[in-house]
Amino acid sequence: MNRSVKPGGYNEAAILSLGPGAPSPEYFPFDHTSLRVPSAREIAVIGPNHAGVTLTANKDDTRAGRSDYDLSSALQYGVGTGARQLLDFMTQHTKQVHNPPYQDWKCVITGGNTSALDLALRTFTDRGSYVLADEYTYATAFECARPLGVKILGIKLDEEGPIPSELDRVLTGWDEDHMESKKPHLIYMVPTGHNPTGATQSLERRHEIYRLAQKHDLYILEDDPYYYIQLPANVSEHVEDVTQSIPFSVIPKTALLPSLLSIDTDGRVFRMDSFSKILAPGLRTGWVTASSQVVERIVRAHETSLQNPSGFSQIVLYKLLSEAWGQEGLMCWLSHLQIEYTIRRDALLRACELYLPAKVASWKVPRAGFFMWIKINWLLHPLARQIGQRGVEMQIYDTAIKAGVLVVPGTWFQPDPSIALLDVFFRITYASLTPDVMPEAVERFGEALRSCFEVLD
Amino acid sequence: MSPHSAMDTEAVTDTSGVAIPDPLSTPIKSNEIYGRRRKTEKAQWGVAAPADSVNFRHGSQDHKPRAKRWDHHISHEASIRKGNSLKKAAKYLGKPGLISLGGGLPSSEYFPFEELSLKVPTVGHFSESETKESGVIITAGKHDLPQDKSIFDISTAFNYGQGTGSAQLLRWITEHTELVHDPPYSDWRCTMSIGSTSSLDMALRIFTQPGDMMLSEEYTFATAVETALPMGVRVVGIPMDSEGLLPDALDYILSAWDEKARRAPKPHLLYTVPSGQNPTGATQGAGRRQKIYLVCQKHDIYILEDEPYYFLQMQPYTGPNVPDVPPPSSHAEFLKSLVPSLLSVDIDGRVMRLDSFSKVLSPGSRIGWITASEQVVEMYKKHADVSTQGPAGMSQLVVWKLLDEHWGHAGYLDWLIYIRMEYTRRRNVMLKACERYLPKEVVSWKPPMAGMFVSGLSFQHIPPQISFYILFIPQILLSTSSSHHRPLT
Repeated sequence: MNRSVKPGGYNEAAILSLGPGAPSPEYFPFDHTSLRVPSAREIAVIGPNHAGVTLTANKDDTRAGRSDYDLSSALQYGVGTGARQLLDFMTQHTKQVHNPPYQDWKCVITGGNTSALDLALRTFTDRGSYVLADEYTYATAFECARPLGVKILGIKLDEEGPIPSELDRVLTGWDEDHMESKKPHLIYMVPTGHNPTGATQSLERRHEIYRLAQKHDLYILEDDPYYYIQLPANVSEHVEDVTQSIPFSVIPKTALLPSLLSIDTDGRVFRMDSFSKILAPGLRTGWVTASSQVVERIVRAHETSLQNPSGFSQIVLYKLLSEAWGQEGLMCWLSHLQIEYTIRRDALLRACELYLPAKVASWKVPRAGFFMWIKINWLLHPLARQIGQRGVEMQIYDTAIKAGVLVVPGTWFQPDPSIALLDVFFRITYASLTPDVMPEAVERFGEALRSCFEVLD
Repeated sequence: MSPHSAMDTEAVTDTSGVAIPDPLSTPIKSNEIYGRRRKTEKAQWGVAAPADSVNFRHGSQDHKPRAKRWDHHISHEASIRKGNSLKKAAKYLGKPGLISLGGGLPSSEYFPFEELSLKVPTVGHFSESETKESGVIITAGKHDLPQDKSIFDISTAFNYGQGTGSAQLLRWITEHTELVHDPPYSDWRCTMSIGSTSSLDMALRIFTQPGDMMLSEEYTFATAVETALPMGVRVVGIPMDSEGLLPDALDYILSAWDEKARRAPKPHLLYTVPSGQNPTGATQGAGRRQKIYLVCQKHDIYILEDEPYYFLQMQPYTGPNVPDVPPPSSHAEFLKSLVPSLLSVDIDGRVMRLDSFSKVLSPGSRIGWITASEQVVEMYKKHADVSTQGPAGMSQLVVWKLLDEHWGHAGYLDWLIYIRMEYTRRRNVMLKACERYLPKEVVSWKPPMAGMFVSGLSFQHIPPQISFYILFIPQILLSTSSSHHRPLT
């Protein structure tokens, strides 16, 4: 079956195709689609709530010379790379932000990071192999890996992420007979705004990890959906301080930490980017950057699974990013998100300072992402010895729900539940609630903790 | 093939009864669906709300048997796959008064999309030019749900969802499936896919292990083979005639299966494209499908029924000099004119039906769905939650607005009738051209009754090696882009 159909590519007058089974756009019942969005100028000056520009995609825009990409192309069968028009923009963006230090890097549009991870595991692992990750890891990652017969080995974490000496120790001392498996060659990381711990690896830490990857010939899966949600180290006293200290500008004010991709001289990084946290999860679109050898495998995998992302999503992204905002407008938007999430993070932090019992709960200020990782001093629990860490965690979770607040227990993120963990943690987020509701939520959590630990202050 | 035996006669005694159809179990009509919908709470339509198609069926299922269990055919991978724990916690979000510091769902205030609008055809005026002239603009706002303007808005559609797809669209899909197929077992369910290529990929991961062999037509959809091969699954081709897969050949191959000689266990999976098969264009008639089902029951085969061309079934071909058959005059007549699917006779629950909007709305929607027994649909859902997720929310919103809010089920059936007549017209034009331009001494063909392809032109007086290539190269396409379509009148 001929798979090299170009999107909407029947315009060559010389050849009349009787080949591929693509339906005629005549039968796509959509004349045009429009979307109202903020203009790039508006984000920078007023704020994005004055949605001012209407983007329209017609069926015949390309034929009529109005645009490079139209509805009849977008709604037709596509190719495993994603629409070329959108891919060009994302490639340009990747070059500007990461400038990968090797020659044959390439991008490919994906159906989001969950899909990209599933395909990466199918590309790089066999049944029975081990993949290195963190002792607390994004749950979906190991729920995806396990049925494939892939075992996750969690590396111990510190406040930045996986501890390099631990990683080195595990790999150097790997005994293939004892582990009944070859030495692992794949490591999965969420280096910025880690889910669930909120940790962000410093530049030095990234270099250390990369050097170890070179030493042990590891291939790196860099899952980075929160990359652009990098936040200042200082917590503001008042909301006004945040907006004053980070005036609107084209360049993100909190200078972005370099990604692993940007220091990847060997081409051993498979970087997964997503639009989910920066535009909308419902677009179900992202992009992967890797060496052309690896990208080719992903394109082939797409052809026998998801094909390509939703045509509606792709045309909306193209219109918004390439035609309306451009690279600069996108940067403006990302700056805006940094400010907004800083305001939210700081509101949650202030609420925690106010309402959570200091003896019981402690935390670090997250430098990126959506999450705070609350450490519970479980040994102070009156029944600590009898019920242990899991018992304390369970009780807090249930009590919190009764008190009317949902928090996520740290053990839900353990790749191997049989390993006993020393500490008790809870993950809370500042992404969904508005800052005015956060105090109420944290107060309830504080209540639940006080009740479990019988704290009176 | 031997002729069908004479009609069976059965004596009716004085004491035998006649069953009067139970109103609850009679087939649903397209105009009854909206009246039968249960009232639902707003929470059912909210962000990432769990959706189960069991709640969206309107007819009674009590008189039907439950599906058989498929544990003996299900792969190790599928049997150990757990659900996504974070999505499970979403059930608490419906608890009144509960505030969540739990999920990492971004707030819709950061979706830079205020309003979505589309120009679509009004019912009965479906052509491209009519859409331009008399089409209607339908819109979706960001906060239509809390503002009581609609049950599906940008805030909900553009956020994370469940692997089943949105409750809003799943309801429509379930109703449509019940209307058209009304599966004869009780615990059938629907769940969304991101297209049938993906559905097949996922179905193979549920039903096969490396080293298995899968049955299919001897000429089959190449992508299916290319999907199976890297999973270590080889395909056994079953001989066909002009009506598709031959049941006797299927029976023979399975009965004579020698595991040692074949170096594979006896196959337990059949992949078939019963309507408008790609590449041959063959369509299995009702009797043929029944016979295939019986063989599958005999050998305990699970069936993947891939039907992207189901609604591209066309009017019977009358030939160039005979008047055309008039279009169906009612929805009931239209539905009756379709060949009954394998799903509609699936008493055991051994069919997973793959449906897609690709050929009836657009391939770019990347939305489809599967129908199967609850046991199998649960596995599919769990898998979707940790891989593809559900279809893009943006696509779902567009398709739901068109199919549920604007056209409704009745309008959609009118659209399908329009498509039927359009593809009939194109087929007739193509066959007229074949009659006129292709040399009959060398070439013959069978008029297709469904799909996009004229079945293999068979060439006489040509060495067998060459005729194989000629079969594949001119896969005659019934749809070309509108700029090249010149109707021959």
